[in-house]
Amino acid sequence: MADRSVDVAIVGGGLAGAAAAGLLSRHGVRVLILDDNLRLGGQYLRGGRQAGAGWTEFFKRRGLKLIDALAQSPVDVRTRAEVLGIEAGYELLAADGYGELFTVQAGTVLLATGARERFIPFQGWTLPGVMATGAAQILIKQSGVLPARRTVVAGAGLFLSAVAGDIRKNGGKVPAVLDAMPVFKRVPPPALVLQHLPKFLQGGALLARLLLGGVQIRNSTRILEARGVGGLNEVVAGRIDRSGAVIAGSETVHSAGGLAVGYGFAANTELAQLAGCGLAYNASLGGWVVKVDEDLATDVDGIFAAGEITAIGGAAKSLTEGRIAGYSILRRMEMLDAHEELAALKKTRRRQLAFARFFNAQYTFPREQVERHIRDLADEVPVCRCEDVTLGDVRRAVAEGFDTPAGVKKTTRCGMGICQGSTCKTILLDVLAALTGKPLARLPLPSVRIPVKPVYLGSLAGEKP
Amino acid sequence: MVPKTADAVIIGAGVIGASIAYHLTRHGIRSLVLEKSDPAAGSSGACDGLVFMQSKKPGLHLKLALESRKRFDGLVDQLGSGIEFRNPGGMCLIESEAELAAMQLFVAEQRKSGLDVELIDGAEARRREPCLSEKVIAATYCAIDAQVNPYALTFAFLRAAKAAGAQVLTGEAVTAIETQSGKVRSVATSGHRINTPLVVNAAGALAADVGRLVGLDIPIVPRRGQILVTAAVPPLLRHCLISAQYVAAKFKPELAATGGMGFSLEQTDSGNILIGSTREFVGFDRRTTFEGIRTIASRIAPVIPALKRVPVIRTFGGLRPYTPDGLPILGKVAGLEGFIMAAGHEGDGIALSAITGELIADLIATGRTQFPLEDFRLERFREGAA
Amino acid sequence: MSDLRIKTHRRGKRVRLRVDGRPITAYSGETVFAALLAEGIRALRHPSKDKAKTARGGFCGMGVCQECRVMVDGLPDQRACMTEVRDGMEICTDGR
Repeated sequence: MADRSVDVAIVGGGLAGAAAAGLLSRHGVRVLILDDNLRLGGQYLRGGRQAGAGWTEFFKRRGLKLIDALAQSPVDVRTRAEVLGIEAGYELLAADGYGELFTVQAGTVLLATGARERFIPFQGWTLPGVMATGAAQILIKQSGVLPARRTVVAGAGLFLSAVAGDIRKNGGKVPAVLDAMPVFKRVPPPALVLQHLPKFLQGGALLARLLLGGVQIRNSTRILEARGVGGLNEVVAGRIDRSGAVIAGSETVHSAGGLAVGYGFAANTELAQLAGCGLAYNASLGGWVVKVDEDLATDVDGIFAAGEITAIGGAAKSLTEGRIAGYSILRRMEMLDAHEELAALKKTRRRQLAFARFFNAQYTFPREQVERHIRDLADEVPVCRCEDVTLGDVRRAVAEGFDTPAGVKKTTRCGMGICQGSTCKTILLDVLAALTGKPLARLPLPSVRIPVKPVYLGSLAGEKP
Repeated sequence: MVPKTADAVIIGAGVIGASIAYHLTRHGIRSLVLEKSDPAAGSSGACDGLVFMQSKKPGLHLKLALESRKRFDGLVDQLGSGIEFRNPGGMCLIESEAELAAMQLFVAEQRKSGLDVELIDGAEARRREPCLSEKVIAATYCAIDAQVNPYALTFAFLRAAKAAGAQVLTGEAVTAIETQSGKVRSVATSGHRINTPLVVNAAGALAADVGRLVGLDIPIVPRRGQILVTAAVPPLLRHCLISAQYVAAKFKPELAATGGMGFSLEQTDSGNILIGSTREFVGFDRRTTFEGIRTIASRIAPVIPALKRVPVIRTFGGLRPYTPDGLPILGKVAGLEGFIMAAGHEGDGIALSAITGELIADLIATGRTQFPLEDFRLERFREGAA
Repeated sequence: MSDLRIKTHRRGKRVRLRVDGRPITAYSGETVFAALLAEGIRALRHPSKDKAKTARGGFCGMGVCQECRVMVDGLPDQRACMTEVRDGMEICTDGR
């Protein structure tokens, strides 16, 4: 017997989940929304009001309004709740912030589990002081703490300037922004700019502020090493040529106590995979994503997906998809036709996917470059942080004939640690693609099992820890 | 490069197939192992690593296991320390008077089969294994109970076999076995055909499917066991552990209904604790379930309270190749020359891998085995032998 | 006030916690990760006590990577980046 029974369970209280919840609730549907954070809003709205809602922060304001409305609605909101698995019925198993287990039964499930960051490893990346770009942003927005006095921001993608901007706006120093992409990749097609003017205005203003502030912005520049004893002290970077090779003599050293690094995003598809939903590999959509039709139905009847897990695409797309999913679910429950609303939203979604493709291209390197990059990494660079599995270990496994992620996992322990591959899965896939020559789409993903997040054994035994 | 002929083809690169391939090379026979997925992708990669004598049925089963256990010490020398073989000794935990009574009988039988096992009281059990709670009223202890890393063992067998000339092909599912006049002639996969006079069915839970390729009815069905994997923690368990429920129910079937689920635990070299297990007939479904994992957790928490604040990071389901009488099916098959069975080890595949490899290899190479295989024949099921 | 704390951020009430027995000051609404960083503590796990071969600190900041594990009020393996500070909180580095 489930602890709670609702019409629709929504996993993920970010923009997509919140948008769907609001819409469904307004039509009298009993909704329960579960989010692992302390508050709703996902990664985008960490810090709530303090996140800033200036004139370019249109989506933030919409998001905040949505969340405020939810608080006043009959939607059952469970924060600090981690969903551990889904079974037929649908039954969801979750643990609350106190480690107490509870179950939810729902006729329909919407997965809006968002995205996490992706990385390409480098020498010294496990040093304290080296963190994800998102980590730096969350420190600032949620806790009002800078990652360090001086923080280098590096990796690839549009997110780098956003984080650099956040750090500087709040009194921190950014010695350099180092983007491994060539500068011409940053230039969007004019048609796209016109279609997504607010986003590009926001981005443009950001870049301008950085340049005017004297921040060194370097493209075609890769992090080579993070150095320090016990913690980060300096960052070494080098310029790369067209083939992805480091240009000799181009190394620069930046003194910094913080390095915010990010190479784009990866959809949190684990719960969807566990529930049997088909996934698809599509680099322009951000890699492995949940397969959905136009109505955002997955290929498992009764399970829908919205937001970053259908394609990495940003706030506006998430808001749109939350509404599409909401209407689709209402149609499924035969409560509403919503034909026109859906048609309009789908049109908007197609435009937003065009932006998504541009966004994702900013951190998607050509295959040969990735191969070259990985070839240049030393054996001792860690691939799996949890288990200290190095690139050398993976190379030896491949040389021995292990050429699938599951096989490499078994023989090296890569992905067997407490994070269960959350950090290293995309890294291992990139490394295996580079070492075996197999395209990413053909590397089978390792299996996902419950619990998709760690949970105390005592909690599973029905006790409060 | 796929060969056109082979002296012997082994179907399945799990621990059994791998052990056979390895032991064959010690006779100078280079086999071809055909694996439909990856080495240890089946049950050998979804089990715990207990090499436990106390859980074996006294009589033939236990005697076979003891022979296998003897081989493990040599295996470390031959295959290397990467197999993570350890001999911490094992304890079978007793939680009720009824179980104690049953275990006293069981111990007598075990000793008759040559197992040196000691019955100790709860206080002594806790002295030797401090993490145990008062729920444990007694235990049996066996100094030779051991553990190994099951997939590392599988890989090590294969590595050594390949170094001595065996070949392993992955992603090659066997689709046909051609016979002529009661003799095996060739084996086919979707892309290849290999002429061979000898095929070993080491396909574990899938052995019945292989049997159907030659018109044999092999009574092996999958029985799922779910296992919890905890985060790595500093050394907590000093022994590998099982519960008397597992074994006591064999002697007093009524205990099976009233007692809790049987459990088994080991702490691996990497510090993770594996806790099993369910026994379910669910076809080939390897998923773990809410009910299964919650039951295992509820079962073990009162016995080892320190586990309550250890995170469970993963679970998996392994399919034990179950036979009606609990004994594996080993050896030649009447009426079909060149077809050898080596499957049906239920939950004992890892422990019996050493002896199975040796016996099957000896059978193939010399026609004789150190240990009689009469009682392990496939035909025993047709003959209604118990 | 640590110079890593952003002056314009609307902070909650001051709270007192202890990290490995040492008293520190933090502010309601901050995560343990942030509070420790503001205190100059970047390494949350050490090879002497933890399985990791090198010292580790918070990495992803959003509860995914599990690198920031600390003991909070006796509960092991709590993520510092997902735990908000509370007055009287006892934190031990090296998650268990």
